[in-house]
Amino acid sequence: MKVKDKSKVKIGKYMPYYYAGVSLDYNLIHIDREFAQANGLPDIILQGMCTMGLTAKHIIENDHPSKIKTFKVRFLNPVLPADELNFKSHQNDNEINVEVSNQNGNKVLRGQVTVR
Amino acid sequence: MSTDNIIGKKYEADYEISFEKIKEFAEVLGDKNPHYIDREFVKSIDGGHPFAPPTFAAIYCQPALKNLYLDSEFSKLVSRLVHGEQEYSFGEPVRSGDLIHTTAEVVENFNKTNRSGKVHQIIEIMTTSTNQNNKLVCTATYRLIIRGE
Repeated sequence: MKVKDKSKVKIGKYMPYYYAGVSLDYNLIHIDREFAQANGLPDIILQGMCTMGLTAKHIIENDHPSKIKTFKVRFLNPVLPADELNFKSHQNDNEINVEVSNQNGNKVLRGQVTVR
Repeated sequence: MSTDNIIGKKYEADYEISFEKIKEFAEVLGDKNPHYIDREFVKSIDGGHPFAPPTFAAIYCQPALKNLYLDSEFSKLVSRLVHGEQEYSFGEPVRSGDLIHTTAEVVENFNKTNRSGKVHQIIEIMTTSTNQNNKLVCTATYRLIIRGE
């Protein structure tokens, strides 16, 4: 498996709602702006698992998903609607390090993947 | 905190993998990998059913986690919960038509002071998922942060 170095994804304005719908993650910080702000967040935030899913997509592209052996991430900063995410990966044999940052250069996720 | 006794809490649930749900999930992520969405393509590889993306584990683990979140001691924390870290280890591939059984257990619960002196509660949940043939498909660790009030 050969992973590409870089890719970019624009987070749609309604992405947290779509991901809530498909994942049943209806935690109010993802769908209710007032609630999110009352809890100290700048806006509703994207589900971490959605960012992780987009990271998996960056890594696998059209390859076979069973090649992924382990995948771990740390969520570093919230992802907001309309953010633009930059995915950067570096492969060393069967180990891939991946980092995701937003349009302001703030890192939102750091992760490691091992492939079979 | 009133949630000291959540360690060892354990819940389980089944989830049946459907092709339609895999397609919906891939569509939300804008993922066009044919292993997920093209039944004929997958049939041409090994005659089997479409595959689930790795983070589809969040979907099949959800019913067991939901049972945990609905627990009276846990439900108090959910509004202050953010996801800190997530770790997966994958075994047998998960495919449409599979019946996945997941056990979710609270394995860690401790307080941590961050750089600005605020005390957060850290909870770790481990899930173990097996398929209808009793083969391990995924183990996961969810590290959740309950932000200090």
